[in-house]
Amino acid sequence: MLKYMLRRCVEMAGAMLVMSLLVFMLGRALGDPVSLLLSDYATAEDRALLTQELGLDKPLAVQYLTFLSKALRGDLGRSISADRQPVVDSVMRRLPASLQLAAAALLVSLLVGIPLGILAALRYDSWIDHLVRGIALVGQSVPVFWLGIVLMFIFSVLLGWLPTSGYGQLRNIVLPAATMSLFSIAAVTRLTRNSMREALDSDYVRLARIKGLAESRVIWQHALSNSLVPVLTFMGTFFATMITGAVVIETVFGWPGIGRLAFEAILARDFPLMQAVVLVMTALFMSANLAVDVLQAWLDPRVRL
Amino acid sequence: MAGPAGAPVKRTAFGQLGIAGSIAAVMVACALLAPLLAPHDPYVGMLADRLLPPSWLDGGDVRYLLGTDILGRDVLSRLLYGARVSLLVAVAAVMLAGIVGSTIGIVAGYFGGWLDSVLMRIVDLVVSLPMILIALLVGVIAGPSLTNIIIIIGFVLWSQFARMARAETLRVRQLAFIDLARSAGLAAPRIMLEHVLPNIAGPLLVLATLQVGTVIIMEASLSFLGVGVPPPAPAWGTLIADGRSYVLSAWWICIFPGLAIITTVMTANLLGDGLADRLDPARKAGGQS
Amino acid sequence: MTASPRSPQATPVLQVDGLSVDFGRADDAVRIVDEVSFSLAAGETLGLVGESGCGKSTTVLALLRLLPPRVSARVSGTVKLNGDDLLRLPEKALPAVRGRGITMIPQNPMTSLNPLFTIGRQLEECLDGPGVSPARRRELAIEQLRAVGISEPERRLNQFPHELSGGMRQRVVGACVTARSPRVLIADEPTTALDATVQVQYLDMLKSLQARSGMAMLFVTHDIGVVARICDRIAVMYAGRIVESGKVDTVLRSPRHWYTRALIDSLPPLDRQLDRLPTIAGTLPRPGTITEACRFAPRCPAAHDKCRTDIPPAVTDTDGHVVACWTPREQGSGQ
Repeated sequence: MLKYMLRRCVEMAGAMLVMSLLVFMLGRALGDPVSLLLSDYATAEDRALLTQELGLDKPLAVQYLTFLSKALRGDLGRSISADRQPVVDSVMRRLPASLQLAAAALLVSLLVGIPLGILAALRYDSWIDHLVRGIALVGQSVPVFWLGIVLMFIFSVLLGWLPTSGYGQLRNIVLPAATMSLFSIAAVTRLTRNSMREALDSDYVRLARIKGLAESRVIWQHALSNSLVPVLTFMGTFFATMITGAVVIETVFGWPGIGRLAFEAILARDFPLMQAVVLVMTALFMSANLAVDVLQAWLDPRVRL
Repeated sequence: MAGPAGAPVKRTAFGQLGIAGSIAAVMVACALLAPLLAPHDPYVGMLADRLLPPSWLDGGDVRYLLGTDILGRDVLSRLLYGARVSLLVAVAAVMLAGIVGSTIGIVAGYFGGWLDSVLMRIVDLVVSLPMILIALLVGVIAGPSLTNIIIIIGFVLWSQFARMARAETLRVRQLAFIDLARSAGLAAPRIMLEHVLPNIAGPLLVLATLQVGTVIIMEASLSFLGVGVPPPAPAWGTLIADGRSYVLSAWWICIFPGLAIITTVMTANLLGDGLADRLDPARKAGGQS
Repeated sequence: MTASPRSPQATPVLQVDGLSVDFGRADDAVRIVDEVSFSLAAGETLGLVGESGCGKSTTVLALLRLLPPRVSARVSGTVKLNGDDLLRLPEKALPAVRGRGITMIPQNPMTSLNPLFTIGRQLEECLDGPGVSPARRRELAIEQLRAVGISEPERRLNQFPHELSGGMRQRVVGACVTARSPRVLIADEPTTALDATVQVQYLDMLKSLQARSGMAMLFVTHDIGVVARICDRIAVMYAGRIVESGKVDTVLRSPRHWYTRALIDSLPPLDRQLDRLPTIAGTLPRPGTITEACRFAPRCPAAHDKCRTDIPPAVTDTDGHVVACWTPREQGSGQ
């Protein structure tokens, strides 16, 4: 188990390195690094200073190593906006809001999706099953940003139940979290239903019945534990969709997280800021996946090889 | 044992495939025939007719079935032209990803050995990275353009095709006719193209169909954020972004494009599922043996 | 239809009468198992033999009420276990019957154990009960593993199924289902997935389990060789019906049904090599296609008109040898 975790950590570090290289190369290949890193109002002095700082006359490899060593020390440059804030500070300030939203969405999708999936599997081919499958089909076809707008229109504008935007109170997080979790509720429900069905039809569940175990034990221990394995595997995909979700949903609801920061960076064409957001989000994404892998290894002994 | 498992199972695949296929055909036709079908110029609006509601509502105008936007442009016409943009991006990006990914996957699966290991390590790596962030970054650096968005999305998706093509190639490679072709002295590229590809095309087609739905949502999200298809092209995501500020007074501007996206994505998913049922490997294997 | 002989000296533990299973909805239901009857006495082993697809597995799943609900099967007849009719027990009462009264070793050792739980957990949950302390449960589990011939039982308890070989997994399955000392054990082709030497060891293990506990055993197989090795009596099944039954020695030495004869002929002889095994010409009829006739008639060398129009009744001779055939082979005309 320890060896497995160690290996996964090394893999993650490698992937992070590749991502940083990718980000670095894109900045160099697709644009003039000096103008990307400075605002349009920068003086010639600034430009000369930065050129020297980046060592643009040096080989690309040296430039990358400089970038990397600075990044490791938490220095990803300054924003090109007027305040010239260090971008890492901006990202860190916005991070808690994003984590809150993501955690809420994750919790909701598991707490709703898994029971719904189980219900549909146990009442196979009943109206509940058909309803759940219908919701899952539609839920996976709705673009989240549009859903956010529609929910906001209904619950804030028409009904006036919830605020359109804001941060800090429980009522503020309801709409963004609901919007963000819809897709994953649909996916978790469908996965749980299918894997639960498969488990209920499996040889080991049949053996559990043959052994004379009570039906509750057969379902809640033998079948459920197995049907959660694919749900865990799906979490990786979930985190990936959550990144896009975070950017568009935080934008729609004015949520002060790093997703909206990314949108602000896009609007201002603020490359250093965007670069920081991308690297921090990647690190978060990979840590989350690592956590899922560890959880999966704990649940499923076959993974620990 | 052809015991209880051999009991007949309801098959609805053909019906589903037929319905989804018809809807898809109508959509493609709408996109292709947009210049003929659209009642108005999607780019030029009549300012006098701005923010008109759909024709069946109070204050609606029969000339504008789904209403008009802030510049007086016809929502229906923009939707129809938007279908062209969204479907073009979807098909082009999926084709790009499919060709690149399948080629890499087939080569890896066919040759095996170190080449396979290296290629699959790269695929694993790409899968583990959140590629959508790269798309956003490119949007910031290079600015939005139709070509960029197609390349970016293609880049995000190719790894899945590579994985599937490799797995399927490994399956096909064991079959007798590949050995036969090899012993007949056919060159490797020819075997891959003429013998491997046709036999793994089914699952790849299913994946491609399902990916169309994914791409449409991805493109709409990027366009919504302003790093997708640049204005004035009426991509559905852009239409929603445009209508967002007016959702209170003119909901129709952003509701209809959303419905268009949902319908398209659902159609693609149903089509993919239906195809998968039709090409069910178990039944296929049963037919061959 | 057909009745199997009772061992005259013992009252049966399990008495199956007129068991039928129909699949599908009422209007187009297909009969997979047709009026099957047999009985089992304590300590006795009955071999249920037939080709793949003849309804053996459906029969045993119906006995245990384990047919998956999605096949919408209708089961009729009676299955008496110590006097209680299993087919009429409420769903809630089944767990109590399954572990203790009647149990089963299924076909697939590879997939019958839960991959996520340790061997210990899966075995100990069978030993659960009021007044059994965890330590005692552990002891019983180790004892049980030893009884099925597993080495280093203490270590195995902490292992997961994927860490064991196929033969060992099948032994663990045996340990689990017999943990509560059931009266009847059904073994559904328990050794088909194992290789030959492991098969023989496994059969010996089953016999020793039976000798210790005195349980009755129903051994389902397509392999007549296995039946000859471990069974007391045999029932031959063809297309959902039992066509011949009796003592193993009698039936195998002088089979009276033409199908049994053909089955025995298709066995590879031990003393010489054959280029090709003789096979039975034709295939099993599709379920539901032959209803009012002898189902073996299309493949039978001795079939005549009556065989194609009337179902042959089961006839018992003095020795308890039962055959359902219009023109059975002469007695003693075997090899």
